This record gives sequence, structure tokens and C-alpha cells, in this order.
Amino acid sequence: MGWTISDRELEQLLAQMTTEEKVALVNGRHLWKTAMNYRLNIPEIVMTDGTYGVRYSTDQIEGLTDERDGLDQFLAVVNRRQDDQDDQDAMVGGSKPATCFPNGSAFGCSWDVDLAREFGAALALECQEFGVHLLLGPGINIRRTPLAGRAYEYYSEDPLLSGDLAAALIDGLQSGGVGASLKHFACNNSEIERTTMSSEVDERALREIYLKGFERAIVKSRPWTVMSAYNRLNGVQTAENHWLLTTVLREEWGYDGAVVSDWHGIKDRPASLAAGNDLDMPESASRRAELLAALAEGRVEQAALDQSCRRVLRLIRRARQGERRNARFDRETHHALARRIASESIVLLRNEGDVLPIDPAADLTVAVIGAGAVRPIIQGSGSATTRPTSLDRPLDELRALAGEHVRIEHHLAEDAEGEEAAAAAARTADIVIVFANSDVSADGERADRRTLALAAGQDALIHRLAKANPRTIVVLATPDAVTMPWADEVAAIVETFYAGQGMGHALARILFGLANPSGKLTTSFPRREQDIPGFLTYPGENGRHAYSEGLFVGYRYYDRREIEPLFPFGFGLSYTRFRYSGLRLDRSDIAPGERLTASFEISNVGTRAGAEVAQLYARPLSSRLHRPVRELKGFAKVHLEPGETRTVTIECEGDDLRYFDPARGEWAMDPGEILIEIGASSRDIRLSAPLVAAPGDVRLPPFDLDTQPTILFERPGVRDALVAFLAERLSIGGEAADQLVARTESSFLGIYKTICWFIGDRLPAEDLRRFLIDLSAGTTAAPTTYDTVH
Amino acid sequence: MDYGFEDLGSLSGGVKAFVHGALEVPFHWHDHLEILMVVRGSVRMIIDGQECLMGSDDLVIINAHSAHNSVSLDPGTVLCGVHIDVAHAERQGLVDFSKRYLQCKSFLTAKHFCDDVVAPMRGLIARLILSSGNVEDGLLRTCLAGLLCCHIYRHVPYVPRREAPSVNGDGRERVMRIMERMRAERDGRLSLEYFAEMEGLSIPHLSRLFRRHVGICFRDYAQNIRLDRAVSQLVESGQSIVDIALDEGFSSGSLFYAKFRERFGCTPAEYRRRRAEPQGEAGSAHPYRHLLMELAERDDGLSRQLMRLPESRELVAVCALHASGMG
Repeated sequence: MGWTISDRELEQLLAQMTTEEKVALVNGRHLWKTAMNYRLNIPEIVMTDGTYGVRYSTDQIEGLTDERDGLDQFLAVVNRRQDDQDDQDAMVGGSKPATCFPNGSAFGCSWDVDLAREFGAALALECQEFGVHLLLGPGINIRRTPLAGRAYEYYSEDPLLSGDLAAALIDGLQSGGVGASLKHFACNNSEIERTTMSSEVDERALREIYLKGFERAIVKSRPWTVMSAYNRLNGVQTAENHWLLTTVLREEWGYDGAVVSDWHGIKDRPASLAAGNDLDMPESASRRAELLAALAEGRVEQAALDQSCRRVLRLIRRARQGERRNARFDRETHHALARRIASESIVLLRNEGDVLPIDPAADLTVAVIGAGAVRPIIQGSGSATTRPTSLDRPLDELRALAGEHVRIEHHLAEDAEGEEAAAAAARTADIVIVFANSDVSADGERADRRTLALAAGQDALIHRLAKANPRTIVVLATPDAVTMPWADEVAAIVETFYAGQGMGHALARILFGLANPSGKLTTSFPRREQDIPGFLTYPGENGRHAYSEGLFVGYRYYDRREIEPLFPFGFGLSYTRFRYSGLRLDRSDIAPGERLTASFEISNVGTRAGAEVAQLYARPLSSRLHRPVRELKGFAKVHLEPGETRTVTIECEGDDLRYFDPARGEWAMDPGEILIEIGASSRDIRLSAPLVAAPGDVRLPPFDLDTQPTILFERPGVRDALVAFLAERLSIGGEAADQLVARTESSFLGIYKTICWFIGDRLPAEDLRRFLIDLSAGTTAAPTTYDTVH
Repeated sequence: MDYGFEDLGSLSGGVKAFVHGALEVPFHWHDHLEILMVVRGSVRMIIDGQECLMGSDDLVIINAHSAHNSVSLDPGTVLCGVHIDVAHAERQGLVDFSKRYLQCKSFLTAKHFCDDVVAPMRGLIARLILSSGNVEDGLLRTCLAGLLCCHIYRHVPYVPRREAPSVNGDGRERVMRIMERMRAERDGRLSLEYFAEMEGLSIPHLSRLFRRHVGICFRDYAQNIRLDRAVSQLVESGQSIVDIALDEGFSSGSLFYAKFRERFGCTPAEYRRRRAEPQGEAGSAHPYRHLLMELAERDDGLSRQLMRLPESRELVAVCALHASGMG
């Protein structure tokens, strides 16, 4: 029976707890549990890793129910693992098999929120069977650089797409009674010195890019927990960052769940509690002692402890009430879902001469080359690594689907001799399929990639195979973007990212045309490493990592700099063709709080059924502050039979058309024109229509003594008001005052110093300041006074 | 049912199993370990002053000398369990078993604990009850009891015994004594004032102390005693219900009816009628046989436990003794 305790009883319970018991409750128990309170009957809950699959470590979760100290426990786990001969991979050793679904960077390419919900529900069912109450995912850090070690776990370089996919996945998970932990909050975008490095991010970039996805997911899906990150943000450890965890997360966004630390991510426990990091994971006697001491000395308020306890108690209540102890998941059904998600996520990047799909009924020889065909790379390495329930090997799947006249031969090509044989086979084959990947050992949690190139030797092998046979198809398994110096030489490129245990099957179906690829990139692929946004200041140094590109992350950067990416954001090919037509907007102008509905038609004008991801971008034509050329504001994925036409509707909130103005400390919309664009990718805009931004009254930054006269007089009424003010205050008459103001107009000094320049210090600064403050309060923005962007 | 301290005497083989239907078990304690589990229905218990709500399949270990009661929340409730003589188990080789304050409340624990630790206990207890009553099953019962003790010894977490009572602070013994006296009190003087004076405590102090240790307030506890006595009279005597009510100090029949219904979920007349019907008693599993069979046959990990037992130091020792001809 769930833990049915009313809010009132919960408060009574809190009142009965001793300070030691409260401190114990806001710390975990062992690695993956909360602390049960036996005296007061507070149950424990179980949490575990997994952004794309449940990593249930039997040793770590079940093995230790006694009071042995940390070293004993560590040795017990280590020794048991060594005994387990079945497990080759130490990382997943002792884990229960669970479905390994496509990783974040793969799954993101599905652009499918309904699928995300289904994905979340499946994860919930697996958690329920394992007795897990809280799954430590999804992670939605912005993929700022493709080199980032944990890029494979995350969805996109764009916050709207990240936030919407996460919201749907969380919704599916939590509807199944299992809590999510949205992570890593915030700006954990590189693994280099990851617990000490400070991500130095300006406030606009933070608000519009790095926090936006979290805000979106939190408002839409209310995750039970949010996980603070390992890194520092603008100098302050995120777990100890009051502005981040309390001002923004709770006060501005109204988040009412609990904040949990990343494992051993808290350095100063008292500071983290005061900042709003409720639950400190995992168990740490020393951090408990620090907190107790701080409470005793009054450095942390009892009220802060009570508040965190309250949140943890509510979390436990939710978790216990969500329990479904008899739930079981069907391995086959979930494997099929893993295949389906992979199929929706795989991206076809190039298909010259329609080399794909391969006709399974044709009479031809296919040379399959590379270890990836038999030992596929289906996931990244790190805390998220899952032990799959089964594994589809691409070579087996290709053979299973090939017709009787398709001859498939395989070459590992793992040494010089093998490459020779592979090249020879390529020369005589009708089609070559080569499996390539980035250097697996260099990648994953704890380490960024050092290069965007493929693993050593693979670029050369692909060059060689392409030379031997122009009908060469490259199948990539990479965490994020890679460079492709051979891109123009090969016939086709298929990017699977890390597509989980069903990848082999999904890939084979796509290659043979039984499925039509519909994934689209969620990051920009650069032509060379030097094109990566932030290249000049990556990685951080001396403990500081300046996000020098500001809010121009990903395609926002390539667009503004007019750099041609290798493959743009939102790009992906299909075996069929789609025609876009008839864009209409349900309104001609928009203000914050209003909603735009854009409708248009998509027709499948090819011969195969397929799915298209249509993207809605907003392009501000004028702006007071720097703006990206275009930003994603909505998307839709539609499945169409050959010849079918469907009306697609995408909604866009007026609020999402705003930008953050740090000067005012708030979101703002400038009056002016916005172009609404519908694209098949960020660089393939098919339709557009104008929309007028009509925000009504706009508060602008307040004037002060140092405001330049040109800025001051931009606003209507200000000049006349100043003339009147000076005439009265200096007793000089209207005409003289007008001449004085006229002389100030082109000054480069602030208004006060300019006036002093002409008349000495006869005007008290305080008088002018008060006048300017009153003036600020009464003025509104004039429409379209800003320079047109570009 | 005894009130207050319950002297179960020495248990044959160190274990005594029981099963019963919906029942009021007033506060009591004993020097045996008790494992109580809900086979069907739900109960509200107070153990060491803390309220526990238990549903079907929940199981709790009540440590020796822990005061506890139980109130069945619906009439279809079936409870079963065992009393274990820890001193006996200790003599059998479970070193320092009696020094452990065992922590096992299934409703607080993770699923794996319920599957791996609680479920085998359920299965063993069900088998123990099913084998009760037959003389020829004596050896089997001894084996099952031994397995149950070994299982608990190996898998149930604990804190050192001495720490446990101190969680509730001082005064526990005093409250225990008062409870015992309240039970013994025959002339209706179940007032807080009376006991406060007797113990030399202020009324608010005793009130708080009592509530802290027993989990309910003095007045409710006193009323429960009166209701419990009324219940035994209902079953044991032929007195009229109104007479019983007045005997137990209730000012009116209607007040007695209201309080009785509140506590037992039925009217006194219904209670009397129901108790007159034949039902299961401790040691006789008959009426609940199918439920217990279900439990015993459920895949509770017991077989896995048995397969793994050769690893157990205790069993290895036993086998070694047998092998050396000394067993």
C-alpha cells in the first residue's frame, strides 16, 4: 500500500523529526536510495541512472543492506564484480538487463513528441518491474560543442526542441508512476575538469539558450526532481547557486519539486542547502556532519532544512504512491519499440543517384565492411550505459532481409591485410556498405572527444573504398557530429548516432527500403573543427570556460556568421519528396500572451510512404538587441502515403517570440516585423509569411544621468519634457532651454555631463536624476525605431 | 488475549505460529520476537509508539519488549505470524541474535527487499502454520523455524539492541508500568488524574509522555481498555449489552454503541453473533488453509534461498556436524 499521508500529517511528521533525522533525510542512503526512517515510518525510495535505459545495478542497489563502512562496501562490490565472468564490460557489470533505447542524440532526430511519450512510458514500466521510483534522466544540456563527452545523452543544440522532447518523455515516465530527474542544471556542456570548471555565460545566452529548455520542460511536465550539475556557473557551483536553484527555478518558474545533486557533486553542503539543493546524493557522513555543524552554529537556518525535508518527503510520497509492484515489461515488445524509435531517428545525410534503398530482390553483391556490422556501437559510455536485453547485429539483419540473389560478404578490415581484402572486395562488389565510428575509447562521460575526426584510419579507409567503388554507403555510429573529408566521394551517408539495441534491425530495413528514413539532425555538422561556435575559447582554461559565442549557439552561429555547415540543423533526407504549400497565419499581429497558429500543406510527391519533419522558424526583421537570424519556434512530424496531402498546423506562443533583455531583467518583444518561416531544415526554407510584433506598452531600460542624449531623444516626448524641465529649473525661458537641448543632441557624454559642459554645475544632479526616473516610468517604446537586422 | 506483558512461556522448537481473522489485539509486549503479516485485508498497528498502516502482503517484525497493538480495518482481515524465542535461536548458533533490534517493515522498503527478504519469510511462515497441529510434522517445523531464523539473521538489517529504546527517550518503562496497571485496574479508575498522582507527575507531562510512547492519547487508550473488556464480556458472558456498557463505565448505551462501532466497525450485537460462529484459532489453520497454501506456493525466492544455502556458514556448520557423526 502506497504511502498515503496527508499534507497535514506530513507537517506533523516533520515536527516529530530530530535535526539529525532531518539531516539524514536530505542525504541519501548508500548509492541509490533515500534514507528510510524506521522510527517514524518514512519509507525509502530507489533511484537509478538511465536517460535512455534503466541501469539497475544489483550489487549497488541490493547488495548492501548492512552497516558496513564505505571501503568494505566498495570492496564487496568490486570483488563480486570480478567473480562475474559473464560480464565483459565492467561499467554494466552486475546490472540487470534492460532495454537499451536510442541515446539522446539519436532519439532527438526523431523530432517526435508522441514517440517521446511512448518512450517515457516504456521506461516507466521497466523501472516499475525493477522497483525503481526515480529515473535519473532525461538530460537536456545544450549540445554547444559536438566534442562534449556527454553530447550523446542530450537531444539538441536548440532549447525548444530539447525542452519539448524532454517534456513529453517526462510526461510518459511520470504518468507511469515513476519520477524523472531533469538534468544537468545547468551548463554542463563539457567534461573537461567538469567539477571545477566554471561555465562563464552571459545572461542572455543563459536565459534564451541554456535555461530555456529546462524552463520549457519544467513548465510543461513538472518533473519530480531536477538535478544540479557538477560544474560551476559564473563562478558558483551549481549545487550551491542560489540564483539558479531558488531565484530562477523556484521563484520565477514556480517549480515545486525537489532538487537533487549529481553524485558527490556537492562541495559545500551547508551552502548547497541554503541555495536550494534539497537532496544530497549519495550518502556522505562527512557532508551530514558539516551540515549539522552549520545548523548548530546558525550558519544555515532551520527553516531551510525544514523546507528541503518537506520537499524530500513529498517526493517520497509521490514515488511510493506511484508504485506498481506487480508491473512487468515484455522484453519483445520493448525491443520492438527500441527498433521503431531507432527507425524514426536514423538520419539519411546523402543519397547520390538514389543509391539507396537497395533492392532486396535484385541480383547483386554487397560488400559489408567494418567491425560495426557485427559489433555495433549502440550507446555511449558513462553512468547511462545500459546492459541490453538483446542486440540486433547489422550484418545478421541485412542477411535476414536480403533476397536470395543478394550476396553479402563481410570484411572486418581491422588491420592492413584486412583493409587490402576489403578494398579488393569493394572493387568487385555492386555496393559497399562501410561501418564507421568515432574513437570509442576517447568518448563518453568524463572525457570530451579530442577531435571531430573518425577513429584512426577510418577516413583513409573510406577514401580508399570510395575510390574502389563509387557506390559506397557510409554508416556512421557517432555521439554527435563528425567531420567527413570524404563526404563528396561516397554515394550515401547514414548517421545512426548511438541508436540502441534495435539499431541493426532498423538500419537494415532502411537500407533495403522497408522503412523510409525520416530523422533530421538536431545539431549542425561543421565542415571543420574551427567552425564550431565557441572554438576560440574551447576548452576552458584556468578553471574558466568562456561561452564566447554568447547566445549564437549552433545554427544561430552558422547563420549569423554565414558559415556553410557540412549539414545544417534540421536536415535529413527521405526516399520520397515533399512539397510545401499554402502557408497561412491565423493572425496578422501578435503580443506576448497570445498564440499564433500557422497552417500549411505538405504533399508526398514521391512514390514511397514517408514522414517529414516540418520546422517553424521566426526571423525578426528588426530588433533593438542582437538577434539570431532565425530561431526554431515549433515543429511537426507527419506521415504521408504517396500522393497524400495533409494540412499541418504548428502553434507558436507569443511569449516564445520574445528575447531576454538583461538591462531590464525581463523578457521583451520589440515592435516590428517578424517573418514566420516554414522549412524542411534551417537552411531549406520553403514558405514564409509576415507577422507584426505588437507588444503594446513596452518598458525600456530606465534613464540615468549617464544616458546618452541620442538614446534619450529617440523616445517620443522626451525632448519636449526636458526643455520644459530645464526652462523651469534654470529659469531661462523656453527658447534658451530649447537651444541648450539642441546643443546636447550630438554629445557623446552622458546627459548630465553634457548639460554641465554648457552651463556649469548649476543644475543639481539629484534634480535631474529624479526627473529622468519619472520620465522613464512614463515613456513607452516608439514602434520600429530600430535598425533592421542585417 | 493477555493485556500488557504477555507470557508465552517457552516455545516448542523456539517458534510458535498463529493465524487469526479480524481481531482487536490490545497493547501488549513480550520477550519473544514476533513476525506479523497481513494475509488479507488491512490493519492499523501501533508499534513502539508509531502508527503503521499495513495492507495485504505487508509484514513487520516486532522486536522483543516492543509494545504493540493491532486493529483490523476491515472484517475480512486475516493475520498470521510467528513468535520466535530469540534466546533459543541464539543457543542454536545465531550469535548475539538477541542483541539485535531488527528493522523490518515491508511497507518502508524497496521492492527488492520485499522480493528477496520479505517474501521468503512469508513463505516460511505460511508453511509453519500449515504444518502446525500434526505431531509427525514436528521435525519439519523445527527445520522451517531454523530456516526462518537463519534467513532473518542473515538478511534483515538491525541496529544494536540498546540503542533502540533510547530513540523514544526515557520514561518508556514507566509508561509500560502504567499501561500494565491500567489493564489490571478493575474498578473503573482509568483517569489520567489518578495515574498522574500515583506516578507523581503533572497531568500534562504524563499525557505527553503517554502519547509519545504509545502513539495514542491516554483517554483513547483507557477507552479502548474498556471497550476491549466489553468485547470479552460480549463473547464470554450472556449479559445484556446495556449492562455490559454500564459495567464498563459508559454513561449511556448510545455512547457505548457509537464508540464500539468506531473501534470495531460493527455493533455489539453483530460482534457477539459473529464471534459465536466457528472460526480459526491459533494452531488451527483450517479456515485459512487456501490462503496460506497460496502464500506457501508463491514463488517467493525461498527455493533460490535453499539452493544458495550451502554457502551459508550456519548450514555448513550443521552439515559438518552431521558428517562427523556428532549431529
